[in-house]
Amino acid sequence: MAKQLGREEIEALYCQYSDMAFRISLAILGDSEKANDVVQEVFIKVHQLGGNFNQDRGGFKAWIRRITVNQSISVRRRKDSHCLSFEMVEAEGSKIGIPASKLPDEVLLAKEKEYRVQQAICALDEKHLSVIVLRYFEELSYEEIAEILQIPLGTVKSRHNKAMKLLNKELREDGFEL
Amino acid sequence: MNCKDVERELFDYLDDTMSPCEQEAVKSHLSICTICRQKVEDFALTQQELRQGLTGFVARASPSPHNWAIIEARLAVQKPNDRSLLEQSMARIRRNVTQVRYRPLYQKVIAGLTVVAIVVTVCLTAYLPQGHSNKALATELAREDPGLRVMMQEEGFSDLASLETAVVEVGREDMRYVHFIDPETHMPLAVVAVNTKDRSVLSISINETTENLVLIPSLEGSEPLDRQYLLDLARDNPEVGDILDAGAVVTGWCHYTSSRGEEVIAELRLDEAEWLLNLSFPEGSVKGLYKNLGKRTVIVND
Repeated sequence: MAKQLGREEIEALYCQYSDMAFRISLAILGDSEKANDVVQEVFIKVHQLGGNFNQDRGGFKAWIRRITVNQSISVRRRKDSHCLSFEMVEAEGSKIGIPASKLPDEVLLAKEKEYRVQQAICALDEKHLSVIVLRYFEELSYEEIAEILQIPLGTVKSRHNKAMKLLNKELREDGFEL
Repeated sequence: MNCKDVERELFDYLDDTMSPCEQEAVKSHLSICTICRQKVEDFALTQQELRQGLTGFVARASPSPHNWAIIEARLAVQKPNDRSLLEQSMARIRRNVTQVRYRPLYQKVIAGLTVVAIVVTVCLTAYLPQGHSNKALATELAREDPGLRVMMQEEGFSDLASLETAVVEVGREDMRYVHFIDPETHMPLAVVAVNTKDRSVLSISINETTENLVLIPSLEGSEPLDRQYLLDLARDNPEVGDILDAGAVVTGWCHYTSSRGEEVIAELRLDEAEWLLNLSFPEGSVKGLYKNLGKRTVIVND
C-alpha cells in the first residue's frame, strides 16, 4: 500500500526543492506558466508516493529531479507545447528592468544569442533535451543523469553526443559566434 | 591517435576526464590537425553557449508564489490513502482520463521482449519458420516498409541491413518480433512486429521506448475487463470510443509494475487481424494508444 507524506513533510520538501524543480522544468519547457504547473504536479506526486520512497536510492533531491524531468517531458509531448519565443526573451529582459527598446547593443546581442541557443535546444526531441538540460544546466555527471533518467550510461553518452552534434551544427554553421 | 579517435574522445577531452597520458595524445594530434582543432574549439564554444543560454534565461525567472497555496488546496481535498494502489489508480483513471500520451504499453511489452531478444541473440541464432535469414528479413523490412525506414533514419540509422537482428517468438504462430540491435552498444534500436503469414509489419517501436524496460507481463494472470470501465474511458476519450464503435473485441487486461516503477494498470487487446489496441494507464491517464490496420501502423493522436 502506498504511504503518503504528511503536509509538513511536503512543505519542507517544497521549500527545499521547488526552485530546483521550477528551473529544470523551465529549462525543458521554456514556459514559466507550464513550469509552475509541473512544480504543482511534482509535489502532489511527492505527497502521494513519498511515503514509499527509498532514501537509499539517491535521496529526495534525485527523486524529485527525476519526477520533474519526467513530468516536464510529458507536458512537452502535448500538442499545445511550444518553444520559447523571441518576445518571451524580450519580456524576460524587461523583467530585470531594461526596456527592450532601450537595450544597449551588447545586451541585445547577448539576448539574441540566448534566444538562439534556447531555440536550438527547443528543436531537440525530449530524450536529447533532457540529457542536455541535466548536463549543462544542472551540471550533472553522465552517471547521475543515467540514474535520474534510468537509462544506461552508454545511452546517456550517445544521446549527449548526438545532441551536441545537432546543437553544434545549428549554432556554428550559420556563423553565429560569441 | 587519429581523427576518429579524437572524435570519439572529444567530450572526455573537453570535460577533462581523461588520464594525463590520453590527454597528451589528444593534444599532440590537435597540434598537427587543424580540422580536429577547429572541431574541438567549436564544441567547446557550443558547450559554453549552452551553459550561458540556459542559465541566463532560467536564472531570471522564479516560481509562482501561488504554487504552494494551489498544492495545499489540492492536498486538502484528497482523501486519506486507505485504499490499495490499484484501487487508487483505478479511481484516478476514471477521474482524470484527459489526455492521450504516446508511450503505448504495446511498446513496453515489446521492450521486455527486447531484453529476451538480446539474450537469445547471444545464445543462439533464431530463424523464422519459413526459413528466411534474419539479415534477409531485415533487408526486406527496410526495403518494403517506408515507415520503418523513415523512423530509423530519424534516429540516425540509415542502413537497416547493417544492424544485427534477432527474431523472437512471442507465443503466437502468426507473429514474430524482429529486433534491430546496434552492433556497437548491443542496445535495441527498433523492434518490429511482423505477421509471419503475409510478412506485413504490424507495429514498430523505436529506440527510446525499447531500451529501459524489462517487464514481460503474463497475460495468463489477466482478469476480465470491466465493460463499464471501458465505456467510461470511451466517454472521456473519443479515440477509444471510435474503436469500440467499430466492433472491436476486448480480449484481456493485466496489471503490473514496470521497471521504472510506473504502475501500469491495464492492457487491452482488441483483436484479431485488423485490430490491435493497447492502452496503459499509469497515473490515471491513457498513456498509449496504438491502432494497427493491416500494414499501416497508426499511432493515434500522435
